[in-house]
Amino acid sequence: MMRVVSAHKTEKLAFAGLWLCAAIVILPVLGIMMVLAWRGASALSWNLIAAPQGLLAPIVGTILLVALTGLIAAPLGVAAAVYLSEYSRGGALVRLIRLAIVNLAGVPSVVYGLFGLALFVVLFGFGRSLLAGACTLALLVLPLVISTSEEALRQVPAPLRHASLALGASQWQTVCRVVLPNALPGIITGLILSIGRAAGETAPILFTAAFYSLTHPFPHSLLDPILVLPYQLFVMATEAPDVAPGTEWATAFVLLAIVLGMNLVAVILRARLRGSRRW
Amino acid sequence: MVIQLPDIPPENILRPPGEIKIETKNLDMYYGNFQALKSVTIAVPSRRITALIGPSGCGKSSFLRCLNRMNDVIAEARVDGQVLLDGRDIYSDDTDVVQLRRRVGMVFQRPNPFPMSIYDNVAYGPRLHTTARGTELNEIVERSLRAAALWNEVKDKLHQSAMELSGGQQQRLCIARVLAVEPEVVLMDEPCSALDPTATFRIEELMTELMENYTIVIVTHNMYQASRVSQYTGFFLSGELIEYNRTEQIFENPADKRTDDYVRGRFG
Amino acid sequence: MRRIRQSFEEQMEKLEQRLLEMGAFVEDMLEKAVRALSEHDVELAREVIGADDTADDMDLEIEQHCMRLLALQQPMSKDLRIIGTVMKVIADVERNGDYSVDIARTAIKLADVAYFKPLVDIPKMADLVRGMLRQALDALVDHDLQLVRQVITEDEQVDQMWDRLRKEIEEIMQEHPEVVPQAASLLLVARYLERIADHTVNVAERVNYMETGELTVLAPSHGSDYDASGPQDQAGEAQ
Ligand SMILES: Nc1ncnc2c1ncn2[C@@H]1O[C@H](COP(=O)(O)OP(=O)(O)O)[C@@H](O)[C@H]1O
Ligand SMILES: [Mg+2]
Repeated sequence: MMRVVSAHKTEKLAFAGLWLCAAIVILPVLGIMMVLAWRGASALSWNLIAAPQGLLAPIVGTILLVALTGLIAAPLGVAAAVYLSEYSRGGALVRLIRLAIVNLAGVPSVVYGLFGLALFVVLFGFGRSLLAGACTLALLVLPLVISTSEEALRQVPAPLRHASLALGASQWQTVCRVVLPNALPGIITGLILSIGRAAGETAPILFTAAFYSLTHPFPHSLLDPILVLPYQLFVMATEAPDVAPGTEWATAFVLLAIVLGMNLVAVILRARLRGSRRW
Repeated sequence: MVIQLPDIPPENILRPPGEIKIETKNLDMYYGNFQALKSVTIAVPSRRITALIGPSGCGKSSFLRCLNRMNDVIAEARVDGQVLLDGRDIYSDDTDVVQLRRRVGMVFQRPNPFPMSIYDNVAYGPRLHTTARGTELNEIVERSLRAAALWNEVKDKLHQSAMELSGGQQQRLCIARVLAVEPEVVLMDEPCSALDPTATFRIEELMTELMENYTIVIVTHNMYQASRVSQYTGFFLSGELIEYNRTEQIFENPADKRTDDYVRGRFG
Repeated sequence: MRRIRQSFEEQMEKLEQRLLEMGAFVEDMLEKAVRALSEHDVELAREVIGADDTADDMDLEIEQHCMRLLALQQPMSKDLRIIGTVMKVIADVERNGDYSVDIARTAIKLADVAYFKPLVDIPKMADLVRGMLRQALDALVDHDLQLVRQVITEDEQVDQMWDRLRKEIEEIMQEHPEVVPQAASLLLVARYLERIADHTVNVAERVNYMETGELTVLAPSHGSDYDASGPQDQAGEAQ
C-alpha cells in the first residue's frame, strides 16, 4: 500500500512539473502575440494592408520569396537527403558532407547575406533581386531541409525497401516507387517548417533582395528587388520617421501571423498525410 | 585471428538425388570481422522444400540472403565462395542482381506489404519488369492471388489498402507479390513466426502446393514446421552446416550428436 | 550440459518405469501359470486369469501416456523412437500375458489329470522365456544392445527345445493313444511358450531400432517348421 501511494504521488508531481514546462514554452508565443496585438491595435485594420502604401506589396513579396526559396531548396535538399540516406555507404565523403551540413546550420544568417551578396548579386549578376534573395535563403534553409528530409526517409521501414529490392527493383526504382512516396508527408512538413523560418529572416535579404520604397511597386521579374515584411519592419523600426503610431507593431503582428500560419499548415498537413498511411 | 575450421564428416551432408537448383560451395560470409557462415556446402534440390533450422543467430537468415544477394544491401557484409544457381555462380561479375532477384524471390519474417492497395502490391513486380497493363495485368494479379490462396478472400476489395488485411492474409499477399514476378526459387525467412496457428497451417499447406512449380527454401526456428513441410533439412550451428539430410532422417535419427541434442530440445 | 527439458525427461523415465512394471507383472503371470500347471494348482491358475485385466489396464495406461507425450511434447529423434518403441512393445508384452492366461486355462483343464510323465522340459522352457522377456525390457530401458543379442540367441534355444518337445510328444501320442488329450494340451502349452519367445524377439528387434534407427529383422529364422504361416503372420494366430 505504501508503495502504491508514493507511486501515485510521484506520478502527480511529475505530471505537474512536465505540464509547467510545457506551459512555459507556450507562454512566450502567446505573450508575443498579445503584446504585438495590443501595441499595434490602433493601426491594425484592413486599411493597413489595402492602403496604397499598405502592407500588400510586402506581403506578396514575402510570399513570392518564400515560395521561390522552397522551389529551389526542395529539389536540392531532397536529392541530397536521398543520396545520404539511400545511396551513400558511409565513408569519408559522406562524413565530410555531414560535417558541412552541421556547420552550415551554425553559420550566422548575416554571413549568408554577405555570401549571397558576393555570389548571387555580384558574381552571378542577379543584382539585388527576388532571385538572389531566394537563392540566399535556400542556402540558409538547405541544412534544415536536408536533415528533416533524411529523417523522413529514415522513417520509412527498412522491410519495405527490402521487399522492393527482393522483387527485383533497382535502387532507383525502390526510391521512386516506395521510399519517396512514403516519406513525402514528412518531407513536405519539414520543408514548410524550414522555409517558415526563412520567411522571418532579415539579414540574408538585407543585401540581396529587399529594398524600401514609398511607392510600393510589385516586382515584374525575378530580377526585380522586392519589398518584404521583415525588412519593412526593420526600416520602420530604425529609420523611417513618419509612420503612423503602432504601424510597426501591427506589421510585426502580420509577419508573425504568416509564419505561424505556415507552421499550422505544416502541422495539419502532417496529421492528414500520416492518417492516410499506416505501416 | 586464425579460425580453426572443424572437419565435417562428409557423410553428414547429403547430396540429394535428382536435379539440383541451388548449390553453395565453401560459402563463407562475414559482417566486418565477424564470420557468420563457415564454409557452407549444400545442394538444394529442384521443386522440393528445403528447411534450414538451428538456434537463433546461427546464420540461417544470413545464408538465405546469400542466395538472392540481399546481403548486398548490408554495407559490411562480405561473401566468399560460390553460390550456383542452375550451375552458374551468382556472385560472378556478369551477374545482373536485379535479374537474379526476379528468379529468386524472398518472403520475409514479418509481413511487409507496401502501404498501397492489394492490387498495387501484387502488380508491383510486373509493373517493374513487364509491359503488362490493363487486363493482362489483372490476369497476372488474379493468378498470383489464386496461387497464394488469397483470391477468394480479397477479390471484392482489390483496391483497398493492404494494411487492412490480417497478418496471415498480409503474408499470403507477400507470397502472391513474389509469385507475380514468376520466380523459380522462393526463399522464406521464418514466414510464419508472426502468425497464429491457423494462418501458419494455411501457409504450410500453400508451400506444399507451390512445391510443384517452385524450389522453396524455408528458414524456421520452429523445427516442427520444418518437419511438417520439408523434404530436406539442414541444421546450422554457429555458422556451420552441421548436418543435411532427408527431413525424416534429421528428426528420427540424426547422425550428429549436436543435431540430436537440438531436435530433442536438449540444447544448452 | 544443462538439462533443458527436465520435466519431459522425468516423464520419459516414468514411462520406462511403467513398462518395466508391466513386464514384471506379465513375467509373474507366466511364472504362476506354469507353476499352476505343474502343481495342479487351480487356485493359482484362477489368479493368473484374473490378473489379465490388470495387464490390459497397464497396456492402455502406458499407451495413453505415450499418446500424451507425442501430442504435448512433440518428441524428436531418439525420444520419438523410444516412445514409438514402447507403444509397439506393450502390445507384445500384453499378448504374452494372454498366452499366460491360455496356459493357466490349460492348467485348470488338466487339474485332475495325472501326467504321463513329470513336467520337466516345459518349466525349463518357461524359465528361459521369462528370462528373455526380462532381458528384452532391460535392454530397452538400459539401452543395452548386448542384451538384445542375448535374447536372439536364447530364442534359438527355445526354438530347439520346442522342436525337440514337439517330436517327443508326437511320438508319445502315436505310441499311447490314451494320453492324446493331455499330450495335445501340453503340446499347445509348449507352443504358447514358443510364441511368447517370438513376441519377446519382436521386443528386442524394436529395441535395436530404437538404438540404431534401423528397422531390421534380427532373427529371420525364428518360429519353426511347425508354422505353416511363418513368423511374421501373428494376426493369424489370435485366439
Ligand atoms: N547486419 C548485420 N551486421 C552484423 N552482424 C550481423 C548482421 N546480421 C546478422 N548478424 C550476426 O550474424 C549472426 C547470424 O545472424 P542471422 O543470420 O540473422 O542468424 P539466424 O537467422 O540464424 O538467427 C548473428 O550472430 C548476428 O548477430
Ligand atoms: Mg533469422
